[in-house]
Amino acid sequence: MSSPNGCYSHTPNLRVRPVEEMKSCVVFRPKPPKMFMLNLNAWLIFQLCDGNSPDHVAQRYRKSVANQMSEREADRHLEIGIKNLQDQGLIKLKQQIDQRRTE
Amino acid sequence: MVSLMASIENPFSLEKPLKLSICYTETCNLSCQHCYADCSPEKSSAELNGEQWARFLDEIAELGVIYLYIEGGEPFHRPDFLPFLASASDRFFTEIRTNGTLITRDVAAKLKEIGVGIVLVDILSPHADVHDYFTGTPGSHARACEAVAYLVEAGIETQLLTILNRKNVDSLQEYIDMAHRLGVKTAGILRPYPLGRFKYRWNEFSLSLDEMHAALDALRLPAGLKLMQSWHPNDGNSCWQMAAVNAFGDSIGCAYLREYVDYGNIKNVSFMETWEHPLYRELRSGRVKETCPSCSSSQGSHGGCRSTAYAFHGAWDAPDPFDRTLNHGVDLRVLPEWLLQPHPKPPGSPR
Repeated sequence: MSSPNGCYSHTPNLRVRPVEEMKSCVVFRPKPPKMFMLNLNAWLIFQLCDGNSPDHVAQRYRKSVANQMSEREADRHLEIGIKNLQDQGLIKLKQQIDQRRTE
Repeated sequence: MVSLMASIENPFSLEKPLKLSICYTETCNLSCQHCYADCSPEKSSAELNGEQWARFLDEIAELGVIYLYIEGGEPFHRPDFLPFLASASDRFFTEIRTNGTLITRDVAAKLKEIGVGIVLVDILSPHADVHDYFTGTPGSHARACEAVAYLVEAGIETQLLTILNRKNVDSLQEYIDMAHRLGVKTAGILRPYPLGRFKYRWNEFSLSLDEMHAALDALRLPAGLKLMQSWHPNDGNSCWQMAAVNAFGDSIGCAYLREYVDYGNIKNVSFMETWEHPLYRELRSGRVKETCPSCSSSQGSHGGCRSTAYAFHGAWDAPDPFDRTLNHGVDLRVLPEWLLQPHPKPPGSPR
């Protein structure tokens, strides 16, 4: 999968409530207001996308699901999962400023 | 087919509340004949004040509650409601149930700015005279419809609610068409509960289960409009996830259990102490005598609503007679006599 610069972070002011009993995590996004119920896979990706670079997220995700799917499948699942979380406004990719261009 | 088992339980039982309903006030600017809370225009001094509600919000936020359903009375009737709502909407997904008559264009804009999740407006009939008969207030239908228009215009998710009864059963399709015309995406048709003033008018307003189903089955939904209803096969036993506190601070599990349970008052004890009340634990477990496979499958819970099960059978593990597979000949037009008391207890139960 492509590896853009920067790192993923959670959107500010989210409230996160893990609900272990239901094997899910409920997230409240206040602006605009919406509530999301993340399944185990989305929850894992959401946790990984908290200050980590795309490469680091991909490595850790592949490792977490290694006994369930191939690396290729893992990359595909991750790509979809990240897109969903971005569309839901729960994570964003903060681009790093390229020092060589700004000098 | 109904499966008969000795003990059936809900699949989940939460360790801590996730969603919570509050009845912010039992005051109202209308005098509805069907009011479940038996509201009055004057505020009782026993209602929680703004400071107590604010402390309670802090407490439940700390517990991990993430969804707050606010009803009344009429929440907008209390002058301190908007500041409370602003504080709540930063931390919780908020849904407000209202009669709509106090929502002006400016209030709708304020609600948008605050970040309210969903506003549900009660409209009892597509016909103004019928709605105004229920509310006892001429012009209330027109104002409720205006409120819906203002809310939709402000870009707030807005839903219509109605309580199915003898006075509106013949105009249910017109109600659905009105909801569509007003621009809402969801219209709710709710079952009637024998609570508050409604139970004393039950003979006048109630329908048989067959009449209810015939009305629901005949509906034609316009494209894009979603119907919310809790009859078979959508009869859930929501007690596993419910938490509710009334205007006086009593922890009551669910607003529809308001006359039947009291798990303690949050003025005196922590919310979690009330959450651990033995009856509350029992209801959350969802242990019931019978379940309907279709409703269990669609709702992820067993036995249907506990409020109506208790109302008609006087037992917490009884089948819900509003579910046609569990009804067993109960005539929903006839209430048990013991229910017609302010704090009803079935015969033989300890006082």
